[in-house]
Amino acid sequence: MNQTAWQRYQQLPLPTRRDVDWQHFDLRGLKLDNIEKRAQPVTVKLSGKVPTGVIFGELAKHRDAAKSHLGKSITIEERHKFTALHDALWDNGAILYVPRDVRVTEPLEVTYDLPNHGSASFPRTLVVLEPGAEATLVQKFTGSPAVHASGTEVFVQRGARLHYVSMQNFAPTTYDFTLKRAHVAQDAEVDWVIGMFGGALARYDIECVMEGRGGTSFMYGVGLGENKQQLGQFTRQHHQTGDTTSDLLFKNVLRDQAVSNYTGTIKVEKDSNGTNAYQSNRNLVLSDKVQCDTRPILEIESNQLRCTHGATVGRLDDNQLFYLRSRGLSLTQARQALIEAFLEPILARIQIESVREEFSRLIHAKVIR
Amino acid sequence: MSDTFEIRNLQAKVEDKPILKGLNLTIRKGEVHAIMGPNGSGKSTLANTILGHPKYTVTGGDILLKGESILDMETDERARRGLFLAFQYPCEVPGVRMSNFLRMACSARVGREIEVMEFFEKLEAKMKRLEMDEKWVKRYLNEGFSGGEKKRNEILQMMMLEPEFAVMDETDSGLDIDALKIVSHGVNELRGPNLGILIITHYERILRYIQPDVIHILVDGRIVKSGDADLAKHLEEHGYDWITKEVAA
Ligand SMILES: Nc1ncnc2c1ncn2[C@@H]1O[C@H](COP(=O)(O)OP(=O)(O)O)[C@@H](O)[C@H]1O
Repeated sequence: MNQTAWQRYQQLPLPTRRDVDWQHFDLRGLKLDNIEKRAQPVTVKLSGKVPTGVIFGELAKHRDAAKSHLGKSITIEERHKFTALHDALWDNGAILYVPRDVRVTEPLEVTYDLPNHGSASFPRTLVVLEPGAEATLVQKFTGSPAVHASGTEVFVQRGARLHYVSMQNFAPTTYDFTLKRAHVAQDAEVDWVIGMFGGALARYDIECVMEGRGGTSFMYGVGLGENKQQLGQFTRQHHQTGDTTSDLLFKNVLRDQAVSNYTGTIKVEKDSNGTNAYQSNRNLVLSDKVQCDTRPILEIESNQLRCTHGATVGRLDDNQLFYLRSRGLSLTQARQALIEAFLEPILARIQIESVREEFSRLIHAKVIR
Repeated sequence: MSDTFEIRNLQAKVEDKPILKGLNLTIRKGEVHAIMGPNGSGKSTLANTILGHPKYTVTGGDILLKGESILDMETDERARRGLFLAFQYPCEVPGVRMSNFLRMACSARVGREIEVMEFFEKLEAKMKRLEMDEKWVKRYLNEGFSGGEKKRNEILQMMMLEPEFAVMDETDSGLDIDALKIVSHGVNELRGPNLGILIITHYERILRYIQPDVIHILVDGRIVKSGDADLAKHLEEHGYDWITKEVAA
């Protein structure tokens, strides 16, 4: 256990509805008693062809390789209690380390085999792409832990490119707190697609830190909410340097009594001229009982930049439904087609067909019924 | 009976405003009828009511497809039974691919899953007739289509679905003369003993290319006059004023 982080975890109060970031969420089902004793060791399943020189394995077995970057992004300074919890208790996870100029052509996949009911798990993932490297990483979280708090630290160094697809499909009893942060260096690029499907409550903190000129980050997310699921997405596009681009699109489909809160921060630091920051959050609401809130936050200290943000909360379009039905599609078919259409721009970003199909399958099972 | 589409004393309102006030019309398969009328006479209301648009409420009368009332049927059931509406303003459906959508619609129409090969063969043939580029099928339904392209796409859907009765709402509006010719050509090819067509139009122009068997004039929610092609010419020359005066008198 990391004692400093553990102390911080204990000092931070449990968030309440008075806390603006948590006002929509009900944490009463979250049981944290004896959490440190309930932590289960994390094991990972890995697949994909690993070229020589590339490290792709369990974090615990590659401490030396990890040393230079591990904990450089996720630190004691983290803003909320559950990141501190993760930082205090994580013991294992996965590492992908790609040396300079190595291009990994085939996707590498890591599945976190998480323990079941009542237990807690705290996986950490470290991804480092040295200058000029390229790789595709698929990350899958499933299972039914009571509490899951994970962290992924990503470093994409000069001119490197990371394609990254991550999905979570926990049981409807899991409380999931996930932090993912990518540091993007000069001329580097990260494009990620994140699927947020399961859990009783899933809170995501997803951030890109643009550190070098010419860096680009594409962030795509799809969130689903059914029954009384609670979904929180806190994205942060942090431009530390000018001439950087971040482009974000998060789309959610919400039904039944799902609760969703999107908060998207764009932070552009002083003298970061030539920054392009785009943010868009679109929500498709399928029932009257859904609670959906979306909020952009702009912290901009530079004046020569392009920045757009937009948010919508909408329903299926009656005219489109009528049009499709006038051609013989049943109400169910027409709704399906329109929900799929809504999510199409996200799915189209996933290059790996089997993963795209898995997203599609989960979308069907959860919200297209 | 099995060959007719019949509107009996139809009354319909939109947002509590009565628009159709007792409309009667019978179309047999093989016939082409045209309804002409001034703006606001209820032409689009008629088209939408026939397909059961939820905004329009039928307050009286009946619509019979091959002898059976369709008023209790959902829009999609009406379509599967062979009714078709070519929309005045076909809506854009981004994210829904033309080919996927059309195959779903064709399958629904015939009541079985249509094989991919069979489907694309037919689709290609029809698109050629309408001088449509193959790339269209990969596009999203009507997204970014010009007005003319949308109308052509409506006719393509009509050709693919092979309805028994088709309503064409202001199909000529927004078409330049070349597009009008292509569209009319397509419709004329569809004419035959298995299809009844109702063309709804404000202008006489399209009727020069698709010659109707009967022309009806709609004023204030009722058909006030029916006749042959000469009636359209008369309207073209004299406008609608004389007929509204005649009705008022
Ligand atoms: N969706 C609607 N909402 C409100 N009024 C409508 C709507 N559709 C039609 N109307 C009204 O109904 C009347 C008839 O319209 P419409 O059927 O569009 O006639 P036409 O197609 O002959 O011009 C008009 O007065 C119009 O304002």
